[in-house]
Amino acid sequence: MADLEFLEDFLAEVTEILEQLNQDLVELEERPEDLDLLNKIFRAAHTMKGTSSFMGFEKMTTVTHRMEDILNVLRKGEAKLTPDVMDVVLEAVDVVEQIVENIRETQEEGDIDITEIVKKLEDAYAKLTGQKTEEEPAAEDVVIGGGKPPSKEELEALDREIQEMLKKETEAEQAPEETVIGGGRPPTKEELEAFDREIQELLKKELEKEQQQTGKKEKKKSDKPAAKAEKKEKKGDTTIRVDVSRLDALMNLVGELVLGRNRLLRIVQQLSTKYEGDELVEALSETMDQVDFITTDLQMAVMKTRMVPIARVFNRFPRVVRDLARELNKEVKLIIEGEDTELDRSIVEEIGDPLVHLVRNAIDHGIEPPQEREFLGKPRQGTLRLAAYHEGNHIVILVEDDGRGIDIEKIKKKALEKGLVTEADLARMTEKEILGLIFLPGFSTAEKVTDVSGRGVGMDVVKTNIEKLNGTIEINSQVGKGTQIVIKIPLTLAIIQSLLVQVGEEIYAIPLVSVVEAVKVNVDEIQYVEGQEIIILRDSVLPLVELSRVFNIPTERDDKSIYVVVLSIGDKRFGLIVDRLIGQEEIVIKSLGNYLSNVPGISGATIMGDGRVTLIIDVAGLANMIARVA
Amino acid sequence: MDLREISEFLKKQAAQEEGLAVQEEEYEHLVGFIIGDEEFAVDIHLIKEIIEVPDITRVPNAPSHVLGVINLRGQIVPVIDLRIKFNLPYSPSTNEEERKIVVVETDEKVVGIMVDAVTHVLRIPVSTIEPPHGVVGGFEAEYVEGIGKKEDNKVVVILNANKLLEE
Repeated sequence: MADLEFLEDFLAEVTEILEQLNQDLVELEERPEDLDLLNKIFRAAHTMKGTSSFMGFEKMTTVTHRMEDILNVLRKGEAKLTPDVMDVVLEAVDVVEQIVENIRETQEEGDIDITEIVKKLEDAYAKLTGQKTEEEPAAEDVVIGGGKPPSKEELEALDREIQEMLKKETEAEQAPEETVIGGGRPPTKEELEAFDREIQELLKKELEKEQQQTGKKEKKKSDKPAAKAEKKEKKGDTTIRVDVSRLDALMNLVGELVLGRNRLLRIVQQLSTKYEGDELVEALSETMDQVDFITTDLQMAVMKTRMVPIARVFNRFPRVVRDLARELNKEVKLIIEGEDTELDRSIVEEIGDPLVHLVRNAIDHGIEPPQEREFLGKPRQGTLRLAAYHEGNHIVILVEDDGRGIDIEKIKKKALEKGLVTEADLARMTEKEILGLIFLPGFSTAEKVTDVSGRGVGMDVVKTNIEKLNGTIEINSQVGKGTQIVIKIPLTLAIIQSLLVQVGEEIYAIPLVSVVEAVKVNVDEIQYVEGQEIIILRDSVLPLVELSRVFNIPTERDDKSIYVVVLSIGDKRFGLIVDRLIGQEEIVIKSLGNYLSNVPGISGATIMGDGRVTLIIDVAGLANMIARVA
Repeated sequence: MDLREISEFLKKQAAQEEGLAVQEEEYEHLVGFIIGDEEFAVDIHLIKEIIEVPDITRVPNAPSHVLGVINLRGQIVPVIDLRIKFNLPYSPSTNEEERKIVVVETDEKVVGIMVDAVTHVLRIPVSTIEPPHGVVGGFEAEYVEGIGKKEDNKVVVILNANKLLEE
């Protein structure tokens, strides 16, 4: 039992470390001189080695140990980080992740083969240490330069430039037919290296001078790490790990409390009208108000405990982007904004895969290869922006690239080829609607299927996943300028505003986000176009769906007038015919459970004030059902 | 009505009885219930509780044997009718009072089974339970774990709850 407890702590800790490690490593590649970062990474590997050895996971210990060796060499400045070494280290992280996953599932490391990765790590290590003996004097300079004194931006920028040139030089060496851009004779590698050493020398001197001038600063510096550690410790004390199932249970209980409160409110109201002016009833009413407030606050508080920053998802992207860019020989700068934006845990879990897909698309199809970009007068490096912010009760997530954009004509051609639309359809459609075609199942704009995006999962899957979360997805694109994808999702899946409607004896809840309006319509106004019921609403055609028919509800329409609830989902608009509108109500969404996981047209259920279950209409699903019928 | 308490008590009692018995035999502890003319039983450990029939909300487009969903203290629980699932010919009992919902819980699923009446807790020696093949007709043998014989020599069909809740 104690073992299992240890194991849980171990897994939680290691998972956290790995998440951070992926991020830090990619960052390190951009700022290889950052000693603080290197030390942090080294400590992470060291911690993993220690705990895994304590738990007796030998494979993991071996791999992390080798990783630690490499990081140690880098940390001491005995060698420089190269992309190849980074590849090996990242691969090792992947292997460790695999092992951890095995442990999580089976409590054992499994039969994963680590000989290959260990060999690679050892080779990389040998290479690094070999490099050390060769370039000892230069390497020593690097250490001191790596201290990163803040006042010498100029020198550093110069240094970076030289590194850049050196890199280009090396590339040119590998591909001699490529010409180096720039006037006159490009400096040779040796020259550049010598120049680099000179600059490092200057940096070193500058640093020494500064240290002499401000002895105090030195002291301050040494104080700093201690202060940081203290702060960290304090922060650690204020948070605890809680099993998610406990939070879920809490959420459930609060949901019930809210329903109970609603019932009580109704009773108190009835009592107040029946015994108006009665002292006891008045006291009861007052107390009820108080309980009412507290319950609402409690509900909010519990909901907040389930909120996590979207950084949980965003954090994996530096690694994803780096790997992809390398694989596709593209240069991509990733900008992440708003990673502190919070949303419900369950949404965070669901949003990851669609986002990965969108980011893959952006890099694969959006951002052009560096040469092409240069030719077009764009910076070599493409920019991918991943941003999140709150807007009312929603969170908005943006995936933006400055790539080639989506060519409307290509989409038209493709959609026609695949028989998804007719010429007549296209003529009627707005540009935005045409862009929306890429969300149709069976559509893929990639001319050649690459290993990256051509995995058989298309944008339609992305859209479905977003809509499952009651969210919407939108594309804006400009040829040559780039593409922007806007995802809007409610902050929490748990509580939504809904419109209650009645058909026959049955009551259904429609998420209010999808409701545009509700209108009373005379039966005579319904027309038929190719067998489809429609009405003309403010000069535009609105296809109609009878809920009683889709859901097989027995109902008699004795009235001359019906109610049409106008719904909008994505680019689709349609009207739902119901008998009666009951009203707007805040509902707690509950799942139908695993047994009834996939009922067409139903997304979940809620419990009303009287304890009855009311089903929630899945507007996106309904729209699809209609598309099939029509 | 909380069957967990009852089962706790019964387990204790059974353990005592078993302790007293000279020869040690393994028993299946089951809850028996009637649907139509037949008696069925489900492993007592899988039964969450037995409840009166509350308001059931019909779920459109669900499989026909799903009667609907109920509110079980805040949890939405589907209720199924084995009569429809197994194609049993009987009509439901007219005695509304005796109708109950047996709530069964397996790994991840909670489902209520509509029954005409709950009979009693059964203790059947494992050795006397016969495999279903050849004996069971009318519905898929895969849902049946075995056929048990009661003390009065009447048979009871022991259902495989895990299988039952699979789809």
